[in-house]
Amino acid sequence: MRRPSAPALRFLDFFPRKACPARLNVAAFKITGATSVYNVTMSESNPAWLEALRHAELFHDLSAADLAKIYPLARTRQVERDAFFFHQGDAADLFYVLMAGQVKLTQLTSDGNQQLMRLIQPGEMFGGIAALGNATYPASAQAAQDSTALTWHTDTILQLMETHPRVALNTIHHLAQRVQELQQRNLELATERVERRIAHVLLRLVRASGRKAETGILIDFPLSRQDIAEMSGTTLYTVSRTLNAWQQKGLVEIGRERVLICNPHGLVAIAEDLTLPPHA
Amino acid sequence: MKDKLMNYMHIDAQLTVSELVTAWQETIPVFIRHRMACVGCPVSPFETLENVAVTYGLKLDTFLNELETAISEREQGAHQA
Repeated sequence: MRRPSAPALRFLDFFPRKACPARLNVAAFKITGATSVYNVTMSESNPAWLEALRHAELFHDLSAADLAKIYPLARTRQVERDAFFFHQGDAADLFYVLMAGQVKLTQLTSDGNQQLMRLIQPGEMFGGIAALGNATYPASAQAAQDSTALTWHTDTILQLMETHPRVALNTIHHLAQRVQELQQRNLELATERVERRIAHVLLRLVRASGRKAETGILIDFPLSRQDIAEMSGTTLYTVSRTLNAWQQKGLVEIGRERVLICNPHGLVAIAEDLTLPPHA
Repeated sequence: MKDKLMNYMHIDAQLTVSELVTAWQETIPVFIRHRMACVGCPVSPFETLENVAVTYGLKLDTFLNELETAISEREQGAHQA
């Protein structure tokens, strides 16, 4: 299917040509109709896109000759804003590099929330991790703007890696960054969980033996950090660190063996994972 | 007829959430409507209606009005039954 001659794509302003005046760096163009997949053969290839491919993180140190070999193996996929490149759970056999637009990677969590994982900018790859791992896509890729991506079959890319080790190395670098991000996120979640447990313990104690005092609610019996640690299933160190942080924020006040809840709603918000209203 | 049945009770803003809800369970939908986490909250015996209005950014008068309406509507229903 022949692609009609297109007007100069504005995303090319990333790579200004000498003759062109400076234009806004806006990657957007009109898409007619629904998503379409078609081959772009060498003879119809857009030399500007070939150039753009060089700037994709995966291929950035490949020679022009090598790029010229890879490019015709790609298919072009145009997706309208709010439509999807792929859905969470689909078989992952295609590997994408975004050429124009913006893509959101989102995951549906077990409690029914759509969680935004990452925003993909032109030049970045997506769907690669799953495709390389021979699995299903762990997230959905939705176009945040009208977007165009080049896509290859995983096998093609794997073959390419064997003949061009730099592509493999670039992929490893990309994966290493993703792993680091996930490790960081994992750590944050673990911390959140512990804090919620500690907050729950304090609130149980409030319910059992709380007494209204001038500046808050007092837990009315001697309570050491060690006690709290044992009740929350965590260490003395974590409890101390958490309570100190909460004291800084004005949530609690810690005496020698007493705990005063200064901001009851704040503590409940932590325990129940509530979104705090803007005025709280 | 409705005017005669109208409840002239005014709720004290210093009532705790727990006291209110225990005495008049018909006020629970008001809290739910405002997406407040108060019903069954462990600190509800300590937080006054004024406290929670501030916490959730509600106008106290309007909030108390809604609670009074909820109670009086229940009473009206009971009378008509």
